[in-house]
Amino acid sequence: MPYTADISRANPACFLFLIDQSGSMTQALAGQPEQRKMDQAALALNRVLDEISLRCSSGMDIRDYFHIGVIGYKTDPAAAAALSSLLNGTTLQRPFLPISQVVDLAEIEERQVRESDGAGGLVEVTRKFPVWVRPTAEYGTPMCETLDIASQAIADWITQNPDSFPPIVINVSDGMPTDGDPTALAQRIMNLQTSDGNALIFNIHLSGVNTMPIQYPDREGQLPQGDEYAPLMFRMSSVLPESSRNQAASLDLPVNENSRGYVFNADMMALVRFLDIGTRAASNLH
Amino acid sequence: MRLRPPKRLWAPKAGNSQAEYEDASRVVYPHLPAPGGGVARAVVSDGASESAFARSWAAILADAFAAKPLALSSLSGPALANWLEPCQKRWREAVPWQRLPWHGETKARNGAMSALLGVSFQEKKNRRNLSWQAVAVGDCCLFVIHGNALVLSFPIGDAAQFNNTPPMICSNPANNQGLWSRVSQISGECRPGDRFILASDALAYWILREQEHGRQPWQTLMRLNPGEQWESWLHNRRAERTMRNDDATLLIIEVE
Repeated sequence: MPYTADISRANPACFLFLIDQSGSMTQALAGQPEQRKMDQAALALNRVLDEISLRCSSGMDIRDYFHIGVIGYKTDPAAAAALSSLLNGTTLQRPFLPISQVVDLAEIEERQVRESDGAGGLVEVTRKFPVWVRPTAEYGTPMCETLDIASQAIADWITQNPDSFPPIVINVSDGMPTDGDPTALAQRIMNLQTSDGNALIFNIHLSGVNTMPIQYPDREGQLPQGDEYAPLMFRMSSVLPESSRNQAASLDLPVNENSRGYVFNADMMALVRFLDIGTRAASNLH
Repeated sequence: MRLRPPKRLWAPKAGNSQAEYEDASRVVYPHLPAPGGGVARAVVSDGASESAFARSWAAILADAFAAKPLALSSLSGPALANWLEPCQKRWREAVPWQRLPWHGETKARNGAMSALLGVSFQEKKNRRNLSWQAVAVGDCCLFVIHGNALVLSFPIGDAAQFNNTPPMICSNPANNQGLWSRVSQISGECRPGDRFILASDALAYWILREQEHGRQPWQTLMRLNPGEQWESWLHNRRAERTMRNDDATLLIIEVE
């Protein structure tokens, strides 16, 4: 059965994040004039990396169950693709680092937050927040070029990890490619496979169109009206594997066997939580 | 009636070192029958790999049960909380709070989680027979085999009931709301020829799956010995994906 490979140090899984840093990402998110798409993109990515780090933490150490890559994409003023591998020490050709090294790259910010005091009240405490990616945005959206580069990196990773859980590409974008239709390039990535199944592409679509957030639609008819890029992003998204659907269902998200890894102005945490690296720690909390 | 010396087999998840093994097991075996009515105890605990300092929490719980088992006759929610309190204190003292990295701070605040299965054996008043009682939270399982038949699978009865969010005991009392409702208890009489198998979840799941396919996996387990034979057998089950790659712990106690 596909998508059941054990995830371990010997058989790590990988996430390759693609983050849109084009000029359109300076626009406001739907219904949140103070929140730009690029702010939300950075926030979403930092949260997901935090979640993955915490899942791999044994307290003092990080277990290298995941390899992580982060590629930012925009163009230069002359519309030439300007891609960068955002984790220090990596390249576009070799964007991946083991999670233990990714953890070390985080800049730690201390923020005051209010938490339950356990007695029905709230107390203000200082908590640490890791930051890997800062908001930035300019010029065009070379999504085709980015998927082409991603495809090569994924193919290389699979060569080195042929029996691992299939790679997962998570694209964070408002979906306005300026270098053509990326559908075929996305399909090329989805055609890459380990012995455990095909690579997966999930899309976090950030939009200024003011409509209900959508998670994991199963057909184009469910997509929001008014954002012309939603069908494109939907078609570029993999159908959720069964284990992912189970995780989404356990969070009361309505999913079925045709649901895709696509969210519209919504969070996608279920898609990093579904990978099974051992017994969960929160069963009494829910 | 007496208990034969127990067999204990264990191994960390493939790819992890022995120092990262987060199950724990203990056996207190005072050569029953002992003068004055001895008590034997066996315990398996399984620290949740996604919680922090789970190894020490699982070991603390196993030590506590081996030293002072939860008595079913007086077990209640408050009694369980009282039993856990010194364990939680020990865990808090074992965490190096001042040296935690950023990811460890959040994890340690939430506390460590562990499943627990404890079995205790008592001499009956006639000094010849034995009774047993078991308590469990989570998916470490007790199998009682008599002859070639599985006569009990506790607390999980079939393989489909396993998932990766079992009930757990937390080292942070704030995260143990509802714990009492997740405690399972059972007791019985020992018969000569009974075999008690305590297994952490990956092995327990394999045992139930095999049994559900009409096989008698305990025959295989009885033949395994610590060392290369056990490790090779485990490696093969993991490689063929009939057993999840997880820490594996097995205790077998026979009544004769």
